[in-house]
Amino acid sequence: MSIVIKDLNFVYNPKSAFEKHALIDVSLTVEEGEFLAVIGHTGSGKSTFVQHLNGLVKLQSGTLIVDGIDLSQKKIDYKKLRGTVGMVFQYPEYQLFADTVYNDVAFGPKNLKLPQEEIDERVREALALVGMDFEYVSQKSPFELSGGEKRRVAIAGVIAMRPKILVLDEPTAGLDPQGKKEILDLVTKLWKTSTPTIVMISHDMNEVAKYATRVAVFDMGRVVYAEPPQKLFERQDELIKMGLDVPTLAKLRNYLVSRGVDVPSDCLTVDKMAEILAKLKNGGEVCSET
Amino acid sequence: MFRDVAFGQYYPGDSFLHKMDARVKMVLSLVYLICIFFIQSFFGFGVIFFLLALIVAVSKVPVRSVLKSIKPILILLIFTTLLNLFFNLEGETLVQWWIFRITTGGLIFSAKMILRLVLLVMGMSMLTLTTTPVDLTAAIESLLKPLNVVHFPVHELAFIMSIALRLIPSIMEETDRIIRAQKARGADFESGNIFKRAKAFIPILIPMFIGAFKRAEELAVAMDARCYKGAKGRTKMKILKCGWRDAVGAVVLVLFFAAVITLNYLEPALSASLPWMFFGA
Repeated sequence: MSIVIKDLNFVYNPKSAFEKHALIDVSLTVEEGEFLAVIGHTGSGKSTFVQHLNGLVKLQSGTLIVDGIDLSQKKIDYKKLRGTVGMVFQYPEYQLFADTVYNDVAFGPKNLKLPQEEIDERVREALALVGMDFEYVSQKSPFELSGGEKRRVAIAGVIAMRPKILVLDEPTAGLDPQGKKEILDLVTKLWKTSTPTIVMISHDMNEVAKYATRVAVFDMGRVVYAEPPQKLFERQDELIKMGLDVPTLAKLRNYLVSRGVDVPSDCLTVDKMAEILAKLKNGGEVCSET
Repeated sequence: MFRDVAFGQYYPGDSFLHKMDARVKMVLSLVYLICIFFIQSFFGFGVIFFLLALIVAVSKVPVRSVLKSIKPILILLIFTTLLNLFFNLEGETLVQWWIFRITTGGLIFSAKMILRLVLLVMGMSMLTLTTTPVDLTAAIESLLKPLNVVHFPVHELAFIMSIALRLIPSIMEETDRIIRAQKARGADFESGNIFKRAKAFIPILIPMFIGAFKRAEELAVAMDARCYKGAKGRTKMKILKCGWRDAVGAVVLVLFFAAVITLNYLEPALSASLPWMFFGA
């Protein structure tokens, strides 16, 4: 078990005019190997929630165990925790600061007090993982790069810590469709190769349907659902009531089901949907031209 | 980290005090300040304390928030009290220990100093607690308008203030996020000697400055795009208006001011009838 959360509560500005219950009795377990998407309306508590995972927000009440580290203890080994949980914030390129890309990516490993050879190895590995050419980029200033490149370098700065759990807060915000796809492909690649567990906040339901293995829905500080996307997106009406959307393909499927067409729920990729529809149209035969 | 900074400590409300004109509140605060320096006797402090209690009650701001305003001057308060206590050697000696000597004069003087400072800061904080920063800058602009005659850039000054007030929370929020991001990469701001700690802030300061400059440039472009060209011909969305509340506020304050001055003259007679209050001094 990777992350165990039980009865987590969090209040901003307690006992003042600005008091706000951000999290109410949140319980959730994230297994190793999961790609968990976290969705919810603005102010639903999802950002507060993910910041708990590496101790950036101090635990107020409840239990939180991340990869064997109990965060309800008084003494927490923050160095170990932050090496275990990598955190990619919204617009991570705003955290770039060093004179060269190399030094920026090396910032995390240096803080972990690793030997010089290992730092060098990790920087090379991280830059390669995000698809940047080491020779071309390592001695450049991060501020010379394009927006998408900056973001990839910033993500490299996080994965150079070699986390077991990678938390991303809307990694595709503000990117064009091509940039979005590149970042999501990168996250999937990381999930399959280096970091076994991914927790990702997203507002794009099509993204969620395509990449996540499970989805946690936050509403007014509570976790309302935590289930696979195929199952979740059958609840179209409830999600819309919460101010959330449903992926286009799920909408199509829900519409067809309401009209009496039997479409299975695992139809959330375009290819799969096309196959199913072709099958239905030809009375069970797969059309060869699709 | 920065969430606790009470900047522009406005306490949202809908009270008599909240509804008063910001300009009037500002002028009355100035009068209050002068009034406090007119006080000579403890009776005067009593009267002003009663006034402050009245103001707090009317404003419906929790007493806790008002008391919080003393926190920043706590060190100053303790320091001046100690200085006055040990170096003002008038009157009878009460306690003597080693080289320290506490006298009635010193005691009375420090007590008055504490009362003066506390009443002053709490009174001033009532202005900022019940007036939004936006209204405050508008009031400053309006009150300084006569300076336009001597070509003092009143509008520009007020505009700079309101932009600063607008940007400080955003920059603080962004800084907060940068701190978190660097912490997540294992940055350590709490250990090591002073040089190490100062160096640890570089990864925060650089992104912060870059962000601030970018923001300033974006704002300048946005203002330009909407044809901003200074004070000339610019109208106000919210026009400050004086009303009956302001008249009531002014009258109340003037009455209290008069009471303080009268008490200054009556003090000898009063303290003669209540000698226990002054240790016979």
